[in-house]
Amino acid sequence: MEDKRIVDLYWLRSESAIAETKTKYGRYCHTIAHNILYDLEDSEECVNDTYFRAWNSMPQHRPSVLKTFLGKITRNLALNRYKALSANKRNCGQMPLALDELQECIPGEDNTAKIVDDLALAEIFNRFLASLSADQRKIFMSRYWYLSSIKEIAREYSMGESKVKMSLMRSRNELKALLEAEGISL
Amino acid sequence: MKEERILRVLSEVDEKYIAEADPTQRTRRKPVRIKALLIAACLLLALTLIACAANWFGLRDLILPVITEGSQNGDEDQGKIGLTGYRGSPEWKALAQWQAFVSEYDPDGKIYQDRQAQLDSSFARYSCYTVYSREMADKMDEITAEYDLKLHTTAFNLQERPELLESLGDFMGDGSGYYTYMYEDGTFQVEGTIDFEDIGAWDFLLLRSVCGTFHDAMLDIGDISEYQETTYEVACGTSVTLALGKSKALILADLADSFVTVHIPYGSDSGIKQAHLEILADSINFAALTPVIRPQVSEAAKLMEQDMDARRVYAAALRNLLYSGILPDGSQTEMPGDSAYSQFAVADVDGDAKEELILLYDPGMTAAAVGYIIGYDAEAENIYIQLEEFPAFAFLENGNLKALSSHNQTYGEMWPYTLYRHLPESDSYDLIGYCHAEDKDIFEACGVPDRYPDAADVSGAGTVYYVGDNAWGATPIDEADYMAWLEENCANAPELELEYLPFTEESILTIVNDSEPAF
Repeated sequence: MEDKRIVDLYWLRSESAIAETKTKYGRYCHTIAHNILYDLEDSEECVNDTYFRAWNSMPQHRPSVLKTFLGKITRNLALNRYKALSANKRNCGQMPLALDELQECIPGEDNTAKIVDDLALAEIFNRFLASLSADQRKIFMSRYWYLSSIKEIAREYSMGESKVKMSLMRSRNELKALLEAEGISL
Repeated sequence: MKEERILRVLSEVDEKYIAEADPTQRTRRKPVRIKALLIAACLLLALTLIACAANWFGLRDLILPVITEGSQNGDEDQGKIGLTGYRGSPEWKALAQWQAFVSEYDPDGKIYQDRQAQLDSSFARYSCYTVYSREMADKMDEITAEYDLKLHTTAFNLQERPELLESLGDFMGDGSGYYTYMYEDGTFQVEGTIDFEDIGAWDFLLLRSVCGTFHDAMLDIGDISEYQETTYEVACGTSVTLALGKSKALILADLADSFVTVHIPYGSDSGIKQAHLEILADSINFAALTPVIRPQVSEAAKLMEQDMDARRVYAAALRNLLYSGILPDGSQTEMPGDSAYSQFAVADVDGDAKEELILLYDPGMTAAAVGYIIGYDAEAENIYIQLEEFPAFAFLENGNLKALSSHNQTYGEMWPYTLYRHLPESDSYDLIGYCHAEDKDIFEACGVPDRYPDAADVSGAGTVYYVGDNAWGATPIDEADYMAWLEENCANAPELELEYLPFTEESILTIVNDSEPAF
């Protein structure tokens, strides 16, 4: 079913909206949640919460791209859930690895650096992403938005794992350089 | 933490960046750019056989009846078309019947929710279809038997196996397109892009469904009365049907042994005209798509595919135990659900170039623990048990096996074991003998030094061995004789190191990797 029709179902308060969403985007949302949480049960709950959030936000909201709209909800819910999980559970999957890697992007301490709000930071990230080559950007987003493993990314883009790691390292360095140049403190 | 903030704020970046890295989409394609001139289309227009065939091998002959309340025949102006053949063909009839079944089956999704309780290894034969219950499997078998159709068995990823496309030649013109999958019978799908001079580049999708196999490819085309249909003879001489709707445009070619559908997901509302469809049709060499040449798969690749099939079946068997407490031999566990100590591995442990499933089932009680070495029968698409023993295996590099005992109640440090020889012809294990040992120093430590059979310890090794053919041996032998026995029975090869996984859904997912959707 086309996205527009699914959104219409939400606006009509038809319960089949959730079923259609599940059929079309259940796997997508589950992939996002599972990459972060690395637990089937938690991921399933997270995806169900996504449907609930979508149900509550439509009407009022009419997403231009339903897929990414749902993906963002799932991702935020999964990140929240990850934060709430016990240390034992948090030590699994790609999240700890990705967080570890992202430490390399954090600019050094500088008293003159400014702290910006999330919106402004997102704009800087947009500029950073726009500055990357298409492949570099997709690899970066695969790793840090979708939390895909290096192996999965290598397979998806038909390249070696070392090349993926190299691309990510360059992107992280570029992000750090941009943040430092902008005088941003995280 | 600052790095967590980076991750969190990334959620808010431009959605186009999120969409382009979507992992559920395949690798970005290498587009086929087919330069075409409208003037050529004008010349070719003279060749067009305008039939205005509203009901002559057109969309109406593809539409699948939708059974609605109060309608016996279904609404034939709305809905889905089958992409496997015209009405009257076995492929269309089978698809129509299947569609009628699934449209009414499991309306609230409850059966799907409970699917894990039902799935067993026999479902692996439907791995190319959405079949998640016994009723669905039975229905599919019934339909395919009625119309004498086969089931797809293997879907090849064409990004990984581009050699499978060689038989198609250069049917897409000057590019290679982005090929997604090909089934074992030559059914495949390719995505391309055509560059029209006046309206720019448009994506299209081409599907070839090979006759003789059930293929559940359908497309929702909306209101059929909106479509204008004509027949057209393309440059290569094949006659096709062009169908232009407001939101979709289609080219249909009924070839001798396959049915080809080319679909542009936009129509006249977006500026697509009949002439554009003709240009696209002429850019494709339909003649090269028939006769169908089945994909030629190398022996090594066949084994690899077979391993993937095997893994899917192994996964089903593991889930059978994990969720339903059904052991590989079909028996019910005494303590269902308790699998905390169980483990499994998938590896070629007997050297026959095929992977086996090694399942160490341990419910926490030694008496109930059991280990299985399980093989995959590609023909029957099911598992068979090669050996059932206490779950402590030492696999040897030559394919033989030491099955360690559950207890060591001997006066020897060597853990008692049963030696098995792998029989490649039957892919099973043959019992060679039972072995255990006694150490002189252990007798001494236990205060019974006199019980050590010194007379048998000719070499003075301090250890004697017992070897029995049908039971635990009772006659001690010297270490040299034991070593000779091992040599004779190929039992002193190095041991394989296996990586066992915890018995969880997460681990099961890792063995099937991306060959099936994550639950």
